[in-house]
Amino acid sequence: MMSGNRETNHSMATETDIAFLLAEAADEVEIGIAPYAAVVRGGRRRRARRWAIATATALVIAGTTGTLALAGMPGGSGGRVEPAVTAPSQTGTPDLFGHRTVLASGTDQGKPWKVFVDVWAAPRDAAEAQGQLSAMIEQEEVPTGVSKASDLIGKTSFFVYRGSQKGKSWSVQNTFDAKDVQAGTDLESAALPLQPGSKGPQRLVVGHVAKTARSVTCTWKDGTTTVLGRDTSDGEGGAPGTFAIRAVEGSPNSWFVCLAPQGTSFKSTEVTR
Amino acid sequence: MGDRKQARDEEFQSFVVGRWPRLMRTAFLLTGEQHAAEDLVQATLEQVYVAWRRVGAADEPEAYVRRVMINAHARKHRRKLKEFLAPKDDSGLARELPDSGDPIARADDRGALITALAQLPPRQRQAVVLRYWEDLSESQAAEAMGCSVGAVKSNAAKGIAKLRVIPGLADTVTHGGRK
Repeated sequence: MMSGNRETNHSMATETDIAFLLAEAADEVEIGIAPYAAVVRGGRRRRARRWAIATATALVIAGTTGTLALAGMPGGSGGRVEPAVTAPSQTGTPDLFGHRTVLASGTDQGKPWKVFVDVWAAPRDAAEAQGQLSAMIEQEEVPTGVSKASDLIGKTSFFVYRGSQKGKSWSVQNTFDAKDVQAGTDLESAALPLQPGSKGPQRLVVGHVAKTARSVTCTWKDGTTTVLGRDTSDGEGGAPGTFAIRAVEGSPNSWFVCLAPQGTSFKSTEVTR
Repeated sequence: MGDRKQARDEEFQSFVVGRWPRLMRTAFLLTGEQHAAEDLVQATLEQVYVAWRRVGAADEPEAYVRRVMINAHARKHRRKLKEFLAPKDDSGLARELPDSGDPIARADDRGALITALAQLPPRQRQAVVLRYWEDLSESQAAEAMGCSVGAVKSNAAKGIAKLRVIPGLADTVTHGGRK
């Protein structure tokens, strides 16, 4: 055991010596090969986890450069889905105080359904962030993990809803750096039951992709696929009965929704063109 | 667009492969243990991957990486996860002071230093590693630790003061072992 006398008797190491010894000690570690593939896998998982999910869902993050053979038609061929109607985006100013866009709607087994997203553009400074947070509180759309206005600076927030959900009962939410714009085949999505509160199969897929993405393929567990093309109506809604990739006011990325036929559920989704 | 993504992926791969050794050494000094160091570096790089589009384009991605690593290390302590190299109770054992000239003695010194580092409070350990191993300025270390320059000075000074009294190290210096 070191004693006080010993402390007195031994000269103190200089900072230079400690720096030298730190360098020597650091050399003791076995460096090994950088686990690049594991890092990328872990990074993709982390990116997917940034989606806060209100219900049991499957999260997907993809960034593949490969392509899949396109098969099947929108809606798939393995089941029966009533035509979905992609509603026109609701009017509003894409500003700091939230903008709502209907991504898709339709009727399934006689029940109407609708998916929409509220996007809050990124505040640039503390004053804008404070104003946005006040509006969020008022609209019951405070992002998970945000405790003060400054947490919102430079961040885009979104809240996805199904059916008549509103306020606190969002289905999917995320707040992310507005500079972190998707590119190429980047894709983030969540799979969840069509009806809020349901524990049924994950038939609904909601996600966002790069604004340049031209085709997204949703693959279902029964092997059928739904292929989405780019909405050509400048965000004003596609033709009735179609699912599409569409621009969303205030969002740096494009969005899509697809729905599995009855009797099957989500398997995978990726940007295919 | 696909080409740009591929180029970005290649940049990230080069970054990971190129920085891995240095990051491992820093993480080893912070954690005091091989596997904990690997975990810390991998977790750090996973976070860097998520933000790579922005980080890769920055002038100095290393500063961001350091910040992420220090935050990850700090979080680990906030969660009170046990470190492998927890303080060992060796009271009652007389510590011999070997001759600083031979390799075994040097290895013993390195072990003593790692053990002593592991016993420092996390903020002191981070300050010492950033200042004296990473050779950062006080302001760079403050940026990495997310604190004031004054806090870096204070933590580094306290940490160094504790390391100075490690018997083996003090003795080495006394005998001019490794100037």
